Amino acid sequence: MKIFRNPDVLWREEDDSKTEAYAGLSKGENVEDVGTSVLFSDGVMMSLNLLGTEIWKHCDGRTLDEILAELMSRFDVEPSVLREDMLAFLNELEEKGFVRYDNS
Amino acid sequence: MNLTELASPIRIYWDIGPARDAPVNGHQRTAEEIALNKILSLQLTENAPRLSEAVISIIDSLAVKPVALSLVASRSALDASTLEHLRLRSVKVVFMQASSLKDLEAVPAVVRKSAGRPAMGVSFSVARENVSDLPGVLAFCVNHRIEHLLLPMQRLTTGSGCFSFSREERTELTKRLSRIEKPSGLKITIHDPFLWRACYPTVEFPNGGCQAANTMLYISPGFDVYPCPLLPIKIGNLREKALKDIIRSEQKMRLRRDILKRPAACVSCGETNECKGGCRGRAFVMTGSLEQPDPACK
Repeated sequence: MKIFRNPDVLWREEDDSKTEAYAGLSKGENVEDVGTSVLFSDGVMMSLNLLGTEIWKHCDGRTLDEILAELMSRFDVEPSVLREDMLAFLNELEEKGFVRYDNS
Repeated sequence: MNLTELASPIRIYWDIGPARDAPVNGHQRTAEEIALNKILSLQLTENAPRLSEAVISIIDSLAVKPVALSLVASRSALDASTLEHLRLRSVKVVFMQASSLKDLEAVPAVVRKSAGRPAMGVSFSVARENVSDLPGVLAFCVNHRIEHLLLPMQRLTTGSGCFSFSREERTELTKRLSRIEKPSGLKITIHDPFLWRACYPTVEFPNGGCQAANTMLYISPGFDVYPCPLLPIKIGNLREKALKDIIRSEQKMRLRRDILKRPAACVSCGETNECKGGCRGRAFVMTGSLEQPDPACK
């Protein structure tokens, strides 16, 4: 199953927040609550943290496993935990119409 | 990152006026600043029989930048060659201005000319004298398969009269609008929380409260910058200051914090979570204070 970003969703990474998140990460801090990008569509706004942003950026037609493999090399997380988190996150984006799944 | 106090706006509304007062390359320079500041969406509005060179230069400057462009223009400005130019420059949506049902008669011909790209829509400026036409406008869009209907924000920064309607009038409008089935393919953009409620009585207003000086900014034809077209509190001028400096100014941030404060009279109201205090610009214009409720709530 391929995952695609909805091209109508406006989004950007927030430079200051991204710097803050990476600085925290390098000191071993939990940066889960630091939003580093903002998504905007039809008046609905959503903030994504560092990991969420990376997942979002990879939603360009890749499959869940391809995104997982890519992120495993960059984030120190158990594969099963990351997979579960990713799935929940992508389902939330899909419900909001921010991504679409392509089963063809 | 705080979504109620973003470091930089997401969308800018920019009205283009006669070029005689514009600084040399002012439009193009501002367009470049908009891209540099990672603004995601720009809506240009021009009330002129032909698109000006200023509008064309802005659109050309942003054609390859990641800024979603839309344009609100008069019927006569939207001839076949102009639409072709807008298509080549990847303008996403073009709205034809209308202020009466009669104005809509010209819409189908313009839609045919665009052949789907750019997407075509209707911009209907709601005012006291035409609000009763709104169901007719909606029905027109449905019947003609128009994809976008925009009810633009009033330009209160120009000192024009402020539109407001009573609860009774809203109830009547809601009834009339409810008789028209809105197809999923019709995207209706409404900035006024009470007009939203008339159109979608059971759907929460999506903007999450007033977005002035947060997700949005407004640039007037004279390059003045305001938090929103409805809120006539100037926060800078692009002839004197860079957009980045206006966005990061203490004045803008202080104003945003003031806007976020819920009016005291709304605190105990059961509807406040839905309307979030209503339109702060209308409240300011009609009462002279940001601390008063939106008069359209009555």
